[in-house]
Amino acid sequence: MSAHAISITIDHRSIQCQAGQLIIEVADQAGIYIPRFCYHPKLTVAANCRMCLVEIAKSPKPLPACATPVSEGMCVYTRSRMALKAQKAVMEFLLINHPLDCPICDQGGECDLQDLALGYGMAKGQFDEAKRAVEDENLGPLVSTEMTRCIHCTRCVRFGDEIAGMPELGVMSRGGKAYIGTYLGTELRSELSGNVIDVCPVGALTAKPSRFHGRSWSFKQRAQVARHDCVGSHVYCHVQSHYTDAAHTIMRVLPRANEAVNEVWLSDRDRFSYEGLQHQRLTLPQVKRAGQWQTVSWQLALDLITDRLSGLVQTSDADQIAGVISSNATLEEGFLFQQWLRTLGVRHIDCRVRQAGDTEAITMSACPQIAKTLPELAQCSGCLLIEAFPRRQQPMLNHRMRQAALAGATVMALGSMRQDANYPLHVDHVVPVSTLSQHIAALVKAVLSLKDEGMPAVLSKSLASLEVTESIQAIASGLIGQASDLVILIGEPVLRHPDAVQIVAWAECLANLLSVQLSFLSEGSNTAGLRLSGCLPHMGPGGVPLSEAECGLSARASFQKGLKAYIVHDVMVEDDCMGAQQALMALKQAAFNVYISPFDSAHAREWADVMLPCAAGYETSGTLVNCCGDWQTTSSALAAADEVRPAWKIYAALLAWQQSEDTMQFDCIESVTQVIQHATQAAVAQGLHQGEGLVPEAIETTEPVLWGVAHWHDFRVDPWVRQAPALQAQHDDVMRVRCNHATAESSQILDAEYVQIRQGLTVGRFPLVLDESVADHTVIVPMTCAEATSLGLVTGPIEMEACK
Amino acid sequence: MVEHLDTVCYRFKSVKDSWTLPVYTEQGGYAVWKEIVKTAPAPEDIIEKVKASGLRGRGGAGFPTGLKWSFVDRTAAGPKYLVCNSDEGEPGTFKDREILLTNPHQLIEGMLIAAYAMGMNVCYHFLRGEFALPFQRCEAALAEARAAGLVGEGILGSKLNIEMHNILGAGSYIVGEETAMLEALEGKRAYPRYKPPFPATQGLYGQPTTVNNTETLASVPMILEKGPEWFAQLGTAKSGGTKMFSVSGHVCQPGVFEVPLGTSFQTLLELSGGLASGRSCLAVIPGGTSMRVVPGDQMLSAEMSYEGMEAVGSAIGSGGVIVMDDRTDLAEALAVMMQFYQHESCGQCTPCREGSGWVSTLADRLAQGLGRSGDVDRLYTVAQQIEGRTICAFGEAISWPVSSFIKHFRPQLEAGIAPANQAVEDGQ
Ligand SMILES: Cc1cc2nc3c(=O)[nH]c(=O)nc-3n(C[C@H](O)[C@H](O)[C@H](O)COP(=O)(O)O)c2cc1C
Ligand code: SF4
Ligand code: FES
Repeated sequence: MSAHAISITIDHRSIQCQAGQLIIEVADQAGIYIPRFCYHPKLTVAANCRMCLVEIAKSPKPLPACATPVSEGMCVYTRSRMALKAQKAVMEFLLINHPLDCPICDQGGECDLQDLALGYGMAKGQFDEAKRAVEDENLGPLVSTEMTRCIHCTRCVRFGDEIAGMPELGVMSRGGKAYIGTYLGTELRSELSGNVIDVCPVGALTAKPSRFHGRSWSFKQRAQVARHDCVGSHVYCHVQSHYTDAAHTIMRVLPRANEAVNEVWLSDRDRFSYEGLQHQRLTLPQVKRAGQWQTVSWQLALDLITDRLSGLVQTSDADQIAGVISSNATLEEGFLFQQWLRTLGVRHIDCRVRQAGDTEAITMSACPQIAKTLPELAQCSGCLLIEAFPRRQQPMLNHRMRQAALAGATVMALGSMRQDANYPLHVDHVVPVSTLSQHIAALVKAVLSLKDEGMPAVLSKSLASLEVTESIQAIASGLIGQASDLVILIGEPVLRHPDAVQIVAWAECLANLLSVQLSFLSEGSNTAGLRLSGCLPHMGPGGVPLSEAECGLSARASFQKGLKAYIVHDVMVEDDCMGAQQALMALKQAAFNVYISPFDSAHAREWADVMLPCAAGYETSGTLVNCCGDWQTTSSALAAADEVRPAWKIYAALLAWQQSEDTMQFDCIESVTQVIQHATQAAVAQGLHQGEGLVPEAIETTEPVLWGVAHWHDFRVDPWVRQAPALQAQHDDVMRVRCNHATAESSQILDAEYVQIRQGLTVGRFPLVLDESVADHTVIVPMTCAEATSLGLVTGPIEMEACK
Repeated sequence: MVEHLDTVCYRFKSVKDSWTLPVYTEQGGYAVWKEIVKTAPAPEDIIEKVKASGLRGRGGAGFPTGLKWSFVDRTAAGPKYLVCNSDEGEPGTFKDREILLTNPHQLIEGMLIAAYAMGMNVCYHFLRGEFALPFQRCEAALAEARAAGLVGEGILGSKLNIEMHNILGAGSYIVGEETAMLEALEGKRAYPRYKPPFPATQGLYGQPTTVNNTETLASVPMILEKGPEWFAQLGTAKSGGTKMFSVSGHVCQPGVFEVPLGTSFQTLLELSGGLASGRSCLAVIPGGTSMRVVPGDQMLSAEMSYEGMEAVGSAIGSGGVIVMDDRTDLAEALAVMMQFYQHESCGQCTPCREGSGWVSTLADRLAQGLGRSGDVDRLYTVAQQIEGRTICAFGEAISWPVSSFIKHFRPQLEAGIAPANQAVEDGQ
């Protein structure tokens, strides 16, 4: 339909619109409300609820505004006799079998049916019969059902088919017996399943964790940004405000519409993680005295830290101190953290706790960002995923990939695990994890030969002995086919790979050949922001490269070395670090450790000397920079418990102490943000963000070896989400080692229930599950459990054998 | 007795093995199709002839067939589809079945001609799930026609390709609605689609599609063989041709009769053996249960044509004539019909899903003599609330019988209100 401007009238108001638009869209834009249930702007039109019937001049019957396109001169009446009669009739039909017990329904107060019944229904119905009752299904720990309330709008069904790409719900039976269900009796498994709660206009599908915990009208709604992936979905935190005893709780989290980020959706992880904020919290500043933890005042704790650290600097030197900060810290927290430590003379500052090798070279050359905005990504013509698994790790980014793929984009993947994609992939090439870099180099070779521009001598020598397989060839032709709008996406597991630098170097070479910019997914919610705030051993605020003398050690190197003091911000070392065992050993031998975190940890109680409770995610104001480079600043959604302080204030105070100033230089958070902004702008102006480019090294085809991959399940990525009971209940069986049949066979563990993984001197014992989506010679080892901690795996060679 | 009885679709009623290719060809079958393949006439000319014949859709709505065919853009890119609707689900209707059993080749020929006229290359013939034998006959006939080079690729050595498939349904009434049928053909649940877009522009797999009833398509070869004038003149000035009526109910010899449109109801009644002796005609549903009921006395003076039925406030519909004599409990008759509709509602849209059950509950109660005061009026308003607000015409199929029963036979329905409840009303 051509998009030419036409004019119509709605309720005698003349309105300009585009031919082909739906009446309901035009009315919405003009601020004329037409009642609706089944219509959802992000879903296909079903026109089944019939609530939006309106009168149209010359039509003998009322027509659904959600399905009728406008045409020149059309006269629409939304409140005429015909329209009102139709709306009343439909409303009566909807209510006859719907329970009229809003006071005991969780949706009460925010129910479309309740609202519209008030506005468009009749005071009294004529229905005097028994109502229908529908059996409930158990959809798992996240979504609660009360299917008697369902009005069959099929929004949830269409959501599953069209957005989640996972048709989990459907309509069973027909006529008055029709009901929504899974048919199979399975629980919802989609990473976006919670959105059915939002699309359901009534109380049929509600949030299980928050059900009956409060009424929507007593919640305060606070805008925030979700903290579990590098997309940074926009959310609203609903905070209980009436009852003093519940003053410190988030009751639920809902998506905050933003077309540029998460549209109107939210991943389950972002929706239900808030529960984690109520568990295992550190609430009081404490110091260890003679092996005993004692609660102390903030003043005392901060004094102690300053004294001990200054003492250390004087007796040995500042190089005996390292600062490790979580990639979920805010820009401001990161800035003040490094500012304080660098003022003290500390050089070893890092926010990368999951590296197997050194990745400084990569961070020098590339911004941890994707080269497009998310809406642009949804329109790309092709994409290559390199060891990137966005479906579970960056669900809202995957949603854009799916949009692109459904619109015809060629999506291809190269990695150590098959994609669990909810869209068709062109090629999904799985290779042993130890051979990742050589396959990317082979891809360069294949692209070069396809481009037939003759191979540059340097490269041809480096690549001479590399084998190009059929799948690599297929990817290469897929890439050549559409250089224009191509995206090459490097997944965050690449930076955990021992060959990270070479993988990225070859990928960069590939990108150059295809004239595209590499895109990076990153860990946590603010890797990009922490780079800008200077939380890297080789970069200062603004992402400015440091001189050699100023450069320090990475987090892993500092743990390997075993220093005298560690300052650890919001990192549960036992679960969150690559090589946790070694890190714990380093901490235990150190003379003085400070642990600043919202969450308590049994391990930290062993190695720390001071523990400071800081505000968690939504409790603090600050900025997160997402994978598109957007600075997303929000204010705290709620106050933390009494003695808990926002981390930025803690570091601002420590910094002021250090500078022995009476007044704090940073007395409000905006002042911090501004400093980083200036630093960044200056760096960008000087072209410091372009980088030098990596040098790919010669590479040849080698035999794959058995490698273990340290794997953080999507619901185990940070301390916060690990404490969220409903999410954990949904995936309660993830602590298993996974490898494919062939690998199991060659390791002689085919029938084993448990396996022992050995790396160097450490071992861990895990239940085994065979999983054909894993590449040969590759073993996926789950992090964040006691066995994983004692193994302390660093992605790389392992030995595996059966055990009891 | 009746001139031109069984002359078009039902002409081989008593010809032995009429469903086989040799017999059909011997009777002159496929001559029209062979001629078309040989001479490749302008498709528009064929459509003009169908228009001139006055042929109207025999599936229920009576839409002029030639006009419907002219809506398809022959130049549209991509495939176009012809769908033959042999779902025959309308209660009281069993005439397409006879065509499928006795004359499948004429239907195939009709489909081929229609496909040629509209520039279509694929025909889907959808048969209702219960039609086991008709399906076998159609499959056998299709195999014969294919073997003879009449269907498929390079028809009769020409460059013409027309594929044809028989599809057996899974048993539901709603799949007879044309857009529901398209959904079913696409492998989905038979949910009627909201129109527009109409099938002529976006039908099967989003491509231009025409859906026609079995009888409609099977009439086409005869129209072209004997000329549109011949066909038109069989009927009345406004209703060309013949129509198959399946007569059931209180008649002595129920059956299928193909008569010229305009034949009097009296004649049709006589053909079907008349009423039992001493009985009078109380009511007739002339076009399947979705059409309005007509009081017997009005029917006895009516003629079976589109305009004749309109004059008595009903319609020819699918040609399912249900005769009810004076023994009939009309409240029960209505209740049975409403049970059917509540059972067959697809449940997609609110008024039909919720209304069909409600209407059925009310009608049942009246039939059992347990009606509450005001039930008849309630029945009427509820049915009215459904009508015109649903996605497909199923809403009307519920509402028309209800409103016409109440209009003509209110006392019989009021009688279903329980005495106790009446007393309450009287006492007020
Ligand atoms: C609920 C419903 C059921 C229908 N069932 C049938 C049917 O069984 N057979 C049929 O030919 N048409 C049926 N129709 C009519 C079809 O939708 C369509 O109008 C017809 O097949 C067109 O063919 P025609 O133009 O040749 O009549 C039904 C319509 C509705 C609304
Ligand atoms: S459960 Fe909710 S969203 Fe799904 S069909 Fe019923 S009312 Fe609609
Ligand atoms: S909103 Fe239009 S029919 Fe449901």
